[in-house]
Amino acid sequence: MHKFILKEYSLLSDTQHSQLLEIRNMDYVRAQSLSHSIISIDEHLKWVKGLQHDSNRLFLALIKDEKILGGINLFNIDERAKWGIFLAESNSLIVKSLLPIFFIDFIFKNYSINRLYADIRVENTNAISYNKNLGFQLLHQDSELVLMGLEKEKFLDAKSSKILSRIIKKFALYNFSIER
Amino acid sequence: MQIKIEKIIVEALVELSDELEDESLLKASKETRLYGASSSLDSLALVSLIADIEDRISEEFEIDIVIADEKAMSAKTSPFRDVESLTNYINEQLS
Repeated sequence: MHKFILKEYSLLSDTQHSQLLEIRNMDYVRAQSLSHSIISIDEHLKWVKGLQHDSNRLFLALIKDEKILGGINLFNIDERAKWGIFLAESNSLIVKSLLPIFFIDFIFKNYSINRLYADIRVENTNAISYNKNLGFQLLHQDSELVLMGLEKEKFLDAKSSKILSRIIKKFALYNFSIER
Repeated sequence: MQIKIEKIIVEALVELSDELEDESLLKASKETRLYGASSSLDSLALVSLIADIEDRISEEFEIDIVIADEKAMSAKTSPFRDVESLTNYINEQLS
């Protein structure tokens, strides 16, 4: 069984913050992020402090065997809840597939959210396709961004689809848990 | 055996084309890219395809096989580049 922990940013050590930031600042992550800028450790730690008493945002680091592998997040919870993800390239495709399913399932079960949104860069066709397979539908597009939305019922339908149900079987070998 | 394996992969791709509504997969051949810039499959679709192929291989050869394991899925030289590389990879696993 492969075990992964999702840990709130506010609970990470300084070393773990550095590892997380290293991934976040990688060229391939920044290219797909809404903000392309490199974040300094001081900026990052100052921003993390602001998360501590903010119930409107949830930022989790993906950890396996004490190593940071990326981050997944939910923000704007009280209004138009949005999710985001960034992962180190070294993560296997199975982890990249299972983690979003686990996280979105967690969101719909634990928050009073009936619709989840995602902002994706128009050139990130892989992410657009990936979100579509999770049940997201295209809502709006401009020259830079695509806005996609996922209703809770659509996610439940998507989980029953052949595409996702084959992947969901893999949860038998992969375990994700959240530390808050 | 190699021919059978390739046939299974192509059949799985044709079924996936229906699920994804992607006609480009209907004419899958050994050169068809499975992952990367020239492929029409995102990571979710690829993992789903691999899981389907595992089930079909198990049924055809009456052997349990795990293709979508951490090693293969993280490999720098991915065995999932195209149909031919996946066929060779599965053939090696079964031999």
